[in-house]
Amino acid sequence: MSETPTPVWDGPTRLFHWALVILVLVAWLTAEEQMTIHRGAGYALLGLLAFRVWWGLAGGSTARFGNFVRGPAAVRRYLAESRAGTAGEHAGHNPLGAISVLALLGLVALQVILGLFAIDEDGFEGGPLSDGIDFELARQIAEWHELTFRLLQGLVVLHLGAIVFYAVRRRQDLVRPMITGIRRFRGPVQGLVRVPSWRLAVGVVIALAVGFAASRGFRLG
Amino acid sequence: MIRASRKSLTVMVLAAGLCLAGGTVAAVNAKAVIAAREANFKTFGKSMKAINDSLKSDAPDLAAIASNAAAIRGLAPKVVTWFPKGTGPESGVKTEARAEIWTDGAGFAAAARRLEPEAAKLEALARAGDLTGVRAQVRVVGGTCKGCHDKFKAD
Repeated sequence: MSETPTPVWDGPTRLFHWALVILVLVAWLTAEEQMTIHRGAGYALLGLLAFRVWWGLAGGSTARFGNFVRGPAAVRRYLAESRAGTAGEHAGHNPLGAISVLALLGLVALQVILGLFAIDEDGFEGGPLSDGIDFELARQIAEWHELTFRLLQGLVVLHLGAIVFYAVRRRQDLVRPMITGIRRFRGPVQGLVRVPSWRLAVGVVIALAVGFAASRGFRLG
Repeated sequence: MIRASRKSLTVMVLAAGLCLAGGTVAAVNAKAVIAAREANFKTFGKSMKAINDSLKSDAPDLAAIASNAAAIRGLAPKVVTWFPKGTGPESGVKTEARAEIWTDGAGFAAAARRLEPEAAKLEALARAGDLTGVRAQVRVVGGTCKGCHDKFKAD
């Protein structure tokens, strides 16, 4: 079996992925205890998400939402072909994985936005926007902030389960390409189309600006 | 004989009924006590939030901070009275109060009683117009909340 090493994920997409993993872990481990670090992780996550939105519009081909987000018909077709073993190889998210990507990004965004308004039970540690709302509402939001984290944990378990499924049943290693950027295909596959590095620079500026603004509760000046 | 046993049966039924009624009364009480103390703790939270919100603003209002600190100081000595026996997790009513409040009554009372003097200090600093002192003391007051919660409050 001849295998063709093909680039699938560009550096910024991989860096985004692992930064997301690390920051979510940091936020989880510091929750309710190390609130200064917890808030910092939240600001960084918001910047990171802003970067991902930019990269989804202007980044490498496999990171672009327009290239991987598909309608329900395409998802059904992929599921049928995948079961039948006739799904062709391609670089990037499959139509089902696209839903997972959107759900994870959306839920992390919701998680962080709720955190901006949340406050602890002592009225002591809160997000940078908690001072604009009253205690009871901020407490309610804190409870939603906990609930969305449970949902996020569920999605992460599903994500890891899918990786194990593809490794065991489909003999596809999805982890290594997310580290090296390269995947081996059985035949020739249209790989990643990269973009010029000034787009990365723009993304970094966007991320830093959003993260900094969040840390100030979006009150600048 | 039959008569006697019928009589004792009546007594047993009555006794069982009384027990049930008593149990219901206790449950209602636990529920009311727990609801009242949760409302009281919310008052602490609201006052703390008002203080912290003011400190975060461009022009902290020391008079408002002092009055919120006074509210905390006034309510603080009552905390230990909000936990009568039978209002813990064993009551069956949803509560975050941990059994340690009753098994380690002295430890709980000591932790709860730390709040009043610290809130009083905060009030005094605010009245004296010492903003730097207020900022430091707010952390101490917050620490007393957390210190007690870590040991005696679930979640």
